[in-house]
Amino acid sequence: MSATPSFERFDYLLRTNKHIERRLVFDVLCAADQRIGFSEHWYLGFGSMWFGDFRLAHRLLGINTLVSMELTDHAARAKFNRPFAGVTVEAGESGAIMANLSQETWNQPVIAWLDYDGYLNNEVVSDINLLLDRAQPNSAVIITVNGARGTYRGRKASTLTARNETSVGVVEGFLGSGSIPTRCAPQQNAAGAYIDVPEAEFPEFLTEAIADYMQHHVMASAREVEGDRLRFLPLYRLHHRDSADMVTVGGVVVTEAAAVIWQQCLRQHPILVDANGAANYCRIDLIPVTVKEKITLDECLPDIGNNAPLLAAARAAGLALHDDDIAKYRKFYRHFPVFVETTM
Amino acid sequence: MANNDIDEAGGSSPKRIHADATKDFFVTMITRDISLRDCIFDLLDNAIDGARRKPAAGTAQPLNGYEVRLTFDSNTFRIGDNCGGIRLSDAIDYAFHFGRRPDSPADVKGGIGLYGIGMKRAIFKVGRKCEVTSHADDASFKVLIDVAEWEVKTEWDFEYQDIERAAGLGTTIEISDINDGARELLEDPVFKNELLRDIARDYAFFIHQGLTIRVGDDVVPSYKYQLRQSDQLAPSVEQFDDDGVKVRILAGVVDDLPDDIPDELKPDKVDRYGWFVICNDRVVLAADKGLETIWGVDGFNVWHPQYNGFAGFVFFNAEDQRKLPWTTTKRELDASSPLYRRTIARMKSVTQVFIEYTNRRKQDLPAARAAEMPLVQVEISELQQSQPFKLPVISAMSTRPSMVNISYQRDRREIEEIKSHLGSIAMSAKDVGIKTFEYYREVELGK
Repeated sequence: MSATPSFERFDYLLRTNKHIERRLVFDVLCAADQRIGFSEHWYLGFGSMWFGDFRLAHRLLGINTLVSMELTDHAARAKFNRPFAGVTVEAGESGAIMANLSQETWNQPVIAWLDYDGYLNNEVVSDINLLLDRAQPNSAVIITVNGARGTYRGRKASTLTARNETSVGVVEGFLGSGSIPTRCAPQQNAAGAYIDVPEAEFPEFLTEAIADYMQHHVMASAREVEGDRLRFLPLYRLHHRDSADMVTVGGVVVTEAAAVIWQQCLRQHPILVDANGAANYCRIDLIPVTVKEKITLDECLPDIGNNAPLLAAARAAGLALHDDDIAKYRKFYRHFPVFVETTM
Repeated sequence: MANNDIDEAGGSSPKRIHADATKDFFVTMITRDISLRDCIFDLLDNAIDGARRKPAAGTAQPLNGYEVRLTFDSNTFRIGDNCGGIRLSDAIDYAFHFGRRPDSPADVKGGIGLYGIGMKRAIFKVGRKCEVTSHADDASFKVLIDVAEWEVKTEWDFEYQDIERAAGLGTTIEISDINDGARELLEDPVFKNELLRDIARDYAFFIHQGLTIRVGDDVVPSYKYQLRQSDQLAPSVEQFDDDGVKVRILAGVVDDLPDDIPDELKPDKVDRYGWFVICNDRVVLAADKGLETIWGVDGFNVWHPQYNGFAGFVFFNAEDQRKLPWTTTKRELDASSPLYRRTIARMKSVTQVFIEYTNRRKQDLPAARAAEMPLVQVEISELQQSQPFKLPVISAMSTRPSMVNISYQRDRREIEEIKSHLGSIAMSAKDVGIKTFEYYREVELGK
């Protein structure tokens, strides 16, 4: 966790993969808005100084009441930067702020996206618990945390690695062993040391563990609304990589009947679902593409079938991107942003 | 008021009080006494007993080749095996009977099925419709159970149909129309993860014998029960026969012993500590730290985090499983069993040796820690020879350094920052304090 807040290191709005992720998240919410309607909803998040997600929540979903949580030291600057009058900035720690919000506020469904700068820890888990315990039906609960294995794994080179020193073991300490898929559980080698999950697989593991935790938390609490049992339907298991590996995991608190509607909305976005219609791990790690490259690729899209026609057309146009990067672009091109410099 | 029926002996002629069982009792009442997980384990037990009837000969892995497959979602629960099937003759006369009939044929020796209730109770617990299909060496058949229809009928019998023979022998139980409570669990990914973990732990001794158990696409991993051993550290092994039951008691150290009491302890951190009770290779109690075994019983110490790192194992093995001290759920022990009470006395005795050591080691923690370092981890199945509990000899330090506690508060974010910089976000705040103190001594004092 860097001492310098991320908003002082880069402009949130100029990160390609974060931008794509944000659009994917709001795509599903927009689809649900058509069916569910968000006129009663409020928005909760960490608007920071840029309020990227807040702008989308207001513009795309029409949500008028938006609450941004900001550490006291930075709250004044955040208040200055709030984009709409409907945004209020609450100063303090997220757990304390949420605990002190009025019952009337919690009585309304919420779209909550807690986009943390740092890693999963006990405070994040407490925030998740609080949100899931208070969220009304058709509320969305989404979190973003660091997803790099190196962040979680202790830098200890001596003696045998204990289970709780592996990255999976550390996550297990926060979420409980039940949230750890058996295939990822650390196994002991012949010497007795615990073997960690491969680095490349850690973000996918983390999205699954957090989604499982959320699902279980709502099931275990057995909350009911007008006789209907509430459950948690995972919608997002995203991994984006700009300067750091970050994972975004979330879903909705729903009744059985509403779950069907949300599932239909999710299925409209094949990138996000597996063959069974469940939220699927989705890695977003595109390299920056120039405007010229983008125009060249876009002229060939949408195509049908595999990557071959696009690759052939790209090569014919003299494009020198790697095949993998072209394939990734093809997957996300509808959400790929263009950033341009302007003089104000 | 005079009662003309009373005879000279002070009683009337016998009259009838109704005591018939009701189906509702079996469908909705006894299913409350057992968890969904333990119902599933009852079905696993039946499959394993089937495999034990025809073990592979001449091998250390007599259950090699046998496999049990569990699959489930919110609509269907299915368990299938290749463990020999239910013989038609057994099905007609015994297997579907509620409770074991007195004329039941002798069970598989050393088996784990016992009361004649597990399969029916599991079906009722999980759902309202069921199809049991069996291919055994005498016949192939299926039984269709519609619980709602069966409940309103007067007779208790189920009907079966002959079916085509299949290549392999085995049983499949498929349950649908899942009950609400079970459905929520079956679609909970954490339930599935915990089921896999518990099967690994409680059926470890069968998996070591070659049995394969699958849950969905996952093969249940092999769980290792090991105890530490070194020159100064060795587990105790005690064994005796008691009325046809072989009892083996192991006790030892499974992890680092704590130097002090941690601020908080989550269940995952202590799930290898405590007493384990195993009946005919099936783990009945795991990591018990309460009244089910010795802790807090008749004046014995209650479990304390100071005992973290201790693990004890009691194996009860009997050819006649009715002699084992377990209850119908196979998740509790029968405290009234004289055999169990006699065993508890010995468990207390060996645990007391360890408890006294945890107090003694405080006199010289560095020496204790060094002596406790394991040279090897011993599989408990290899510990077959009786031996006493060997623990390091600790003598009081001649000159104990004068120690003081340091306590102070800092902003949580600053602590997190240091944790991250030290490369261990899971470390405790106390360890952050120790590290930063050591850093000051090293950098500023050169020590």
